[in-house]
Amino acid sequence: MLELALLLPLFGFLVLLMWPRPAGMIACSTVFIAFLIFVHFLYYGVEKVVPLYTWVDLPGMKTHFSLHLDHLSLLMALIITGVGFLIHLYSIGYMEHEKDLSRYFACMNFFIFSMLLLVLAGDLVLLFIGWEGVGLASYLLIGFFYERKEAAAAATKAFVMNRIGDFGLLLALIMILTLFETSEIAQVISQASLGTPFLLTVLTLLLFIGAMGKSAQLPLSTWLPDAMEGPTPVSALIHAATMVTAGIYLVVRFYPLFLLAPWTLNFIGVVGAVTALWAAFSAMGQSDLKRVLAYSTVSQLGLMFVACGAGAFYAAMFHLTTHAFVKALLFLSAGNVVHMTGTTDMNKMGGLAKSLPITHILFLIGVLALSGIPPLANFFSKDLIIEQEHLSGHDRLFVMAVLVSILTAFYLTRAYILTFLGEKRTTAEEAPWIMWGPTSLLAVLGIAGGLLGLGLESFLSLIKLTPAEESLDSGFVITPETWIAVGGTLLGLSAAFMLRKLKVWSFFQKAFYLDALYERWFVIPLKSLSNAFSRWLEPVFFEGSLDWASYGSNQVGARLEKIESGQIRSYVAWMALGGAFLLVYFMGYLK
Amino acid sequence: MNYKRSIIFLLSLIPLIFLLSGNGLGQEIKWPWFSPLNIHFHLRVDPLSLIFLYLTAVMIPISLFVERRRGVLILILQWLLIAFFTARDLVLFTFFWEAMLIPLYFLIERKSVAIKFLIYMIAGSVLMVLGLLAIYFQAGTFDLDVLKGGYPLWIALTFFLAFAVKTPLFPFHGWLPDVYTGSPTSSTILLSALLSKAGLYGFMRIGWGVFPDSLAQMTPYLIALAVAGVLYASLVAWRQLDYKRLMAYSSLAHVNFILAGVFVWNLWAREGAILQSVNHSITIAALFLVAFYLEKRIGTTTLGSFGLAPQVPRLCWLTLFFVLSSVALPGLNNFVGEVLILLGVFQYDLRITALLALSVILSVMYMLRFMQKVYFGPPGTLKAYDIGWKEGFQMAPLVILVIWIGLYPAYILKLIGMIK
Repeated sequence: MLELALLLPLFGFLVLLMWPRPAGMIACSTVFIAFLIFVHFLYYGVEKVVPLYTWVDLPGMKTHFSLHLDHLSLLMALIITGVGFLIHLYSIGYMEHEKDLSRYFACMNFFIFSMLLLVLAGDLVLLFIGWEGVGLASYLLIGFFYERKEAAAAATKAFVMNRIGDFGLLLALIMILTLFETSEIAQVISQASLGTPFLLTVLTLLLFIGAMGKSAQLPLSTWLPDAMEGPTPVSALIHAATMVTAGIYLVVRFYPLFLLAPWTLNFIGVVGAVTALWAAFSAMGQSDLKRVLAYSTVSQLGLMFVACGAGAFYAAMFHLTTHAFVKALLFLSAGNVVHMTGTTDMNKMGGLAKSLPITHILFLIGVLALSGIPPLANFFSKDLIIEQEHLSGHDRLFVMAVLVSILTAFYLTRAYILTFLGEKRTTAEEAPWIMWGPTSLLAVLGIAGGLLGLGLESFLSLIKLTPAEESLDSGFVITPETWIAVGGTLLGLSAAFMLRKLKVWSFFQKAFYLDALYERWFVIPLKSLSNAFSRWLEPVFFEGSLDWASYGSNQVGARLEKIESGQIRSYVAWMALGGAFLLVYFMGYLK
Repeated sequence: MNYKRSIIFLLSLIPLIFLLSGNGLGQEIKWPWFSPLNIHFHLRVDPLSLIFLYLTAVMIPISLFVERRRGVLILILQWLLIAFFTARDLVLFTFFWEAMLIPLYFLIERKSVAIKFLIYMIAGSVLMVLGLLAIYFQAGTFDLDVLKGGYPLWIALTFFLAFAVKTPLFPFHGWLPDVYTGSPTSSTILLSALLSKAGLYGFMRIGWGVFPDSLAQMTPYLIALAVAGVLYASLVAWRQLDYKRLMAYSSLAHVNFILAGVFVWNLWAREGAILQSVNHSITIAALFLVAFYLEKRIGTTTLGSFGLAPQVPRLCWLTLFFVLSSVALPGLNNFVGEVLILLGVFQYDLRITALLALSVILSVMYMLRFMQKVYFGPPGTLKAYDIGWKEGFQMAPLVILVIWIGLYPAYILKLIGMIK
């Protein structure tokens, strides 16, 4: 059963490579059946281990591939296939006028397969295969409109940035194999205490570097906004709801290791908080609707890492879940706007509430939910994170988290106002039902997702994911922190209303000039070095060494040629000289 | 294909059929050759030979796909390689090592390039002949089963130099870019997929077999060169203006990665290095084939902004597949070898592992730049037609090998595991 659910999307991918029609139907049905299978597991027993085969069996490197379904991976699998199915459905409408539809759906199905592999893998190597598989799918889909130069560049950038993270993950894999002689995740976790604190700190840091790449945390965060070059449903699925949360999943999956490395946990918290703030400020400055949402995603991912840093892994997973619903909702409704107006620039929109009434409502629900208005989904999860920071005594992170939630309300409301309110600048019609239908389902989840908190906590507590939260009975207690958070949200909302005419500060618009900084500090020096190597050192020195050698031998030859003058007396002179030399030399021996 | 080419192609398949039918391992020929010096014509297939024989048996027919006129030379080379990979007598080994240059000289075609190649190679191995004689005076035999270390360092160095030039180990690669790019594709495939392996095999067979103590003594320096080579070649590949040259440098980076594993030579590094020798051949042969298809279609090897993807979607997918194999995407062949080598190097030194692992970032940088330039971006003025059944047939064995080794390396690792 489990293999079937995993392999169906792969099957869809292979079929679509050869059989282009009807692409949408094939792709949707594989994902939907996979979803049904995972729902089935929800009712009929969760824990499952399916051994597959032995990948490498050497002394000190035992890698047996297996699939491992537990509560954590089931939650992820449900999000992936559930939200994934809705987005696949939506894509049928969104992409209908595009050529190469089968390539699109093939890549989407390949993504679902890789992501499922990532979360179901019982072995780190298998997880790694999924990990880079989703990176590849992301590369292919960001570059879907490859004829646009920006899209091709953004795709390459995303892959390279992800690879920097994978560098960390690869070293972590090597280290795990050295320390534990196996890459089976369950065994690694059960033997976690074997490592010294120092080694575990290094190991967890390396794992976290991998997470940073995939989840776009500073300093590897700049690829995600550029990834918006891809079609909007791709942004919704890969760059908001699922793939970018793989980093969170990795940390949560290995949480027993992280708990043994408090230094790393603190580091994660700080990185998350700084990223969340950076992205929230940057989101305020964007004039491109999709980029606002992209920065918002980075910011929310930062918040999840803040939760991980405080050991509140359950809170992180809860926020991951609600965020997946709501961010997909926001992206899909933004997709409606983009599809119907043909632009992503908010300065060209405005007053769309009338012409896109359904989309307007859906987007508004998304804005309110993600801003943290009770009782919508994200209120509960965000509140839980903020409370956890307070309870675990991370006061600075607590303040930062509150600030982030104020900013979240601000930039989302601003985007909403610019897009839907004000004077009308463009004409558009409401999107077809195949597009707003799935979006409405996500809206329902965005409204009611908070209720999941009731079940989710006990669901995840089965794998002991809630150690730091034992002091907390429920996430719904109205505490002072909650009031601070809600107050902050309202502040953000109203500020956005009052400041809607405000010109954006280009410092924020350029995301603190991080891209320019990287360009100047890393890319340009590296390019100069590479150019110096390939244009100068190679031809002159290494390849040139041959020319020098041949030139040298020619010169020597020419000199020697002169000795052969053809005159007897010079030969006699040389002979006498040589004879004298030999005589002196051998006289030394005789002595 | 005319009938001559067909016959040559079928002849080149004989070794593969022979190996696949289970013959091979343990086969031996031992004839006296020059008795005063106790030299034997002694060939034997042991597991290490077997791996390289398989490689020869697969790669030679593939290079014949793209060679029209000089198939016979390739067959001669195949024979020399088989003899070289099985030679158990040091004189025989050296003899075939040098003899391989003769068909190669004619296969490279462009005379200036061929002479450059020849001079560099001979300069590299001329001292080896001296070392060969010195060994005889030390040990009194050329039998590889008897020679077991304890010789002066300089003798070992003469051999290492020859291997380093042929593989090539950084900084002995001066001949490589011009020769790889200036030769016909069939020769480039032979050079990159098989001749570089002759150098690697030399380090494995002679380096670890005959000079284990000297090699262990030199290991720190050699590893430093290999790691420098990986990083240097990757950086040079990044800004290339010619895609064939880019692939040449990527090949250089990869063989230096393998060499790092060869020099560490513990359990994991050994398995990794031998496996990676196979992987590198598969991937680089495929990449040069891709370059051949491209050049045939667009008439240039310049790395311009062509935007070819809409015109040649199938070729684009195929290229991407081997690019991914080359950057060691998990699940494809190179990943297995790289993990094993890194694991082996990790036991040796942590910092070197980190430096070596940087290649996963650099390789993506240069390979995806190639994809982006040639295939993506606004369509240019160039017209090209897509690949068809013929190219698909040529590529199919390589595609299968890449996936098979990537997903199920246990089989081939078992084979490698027999090597002591």
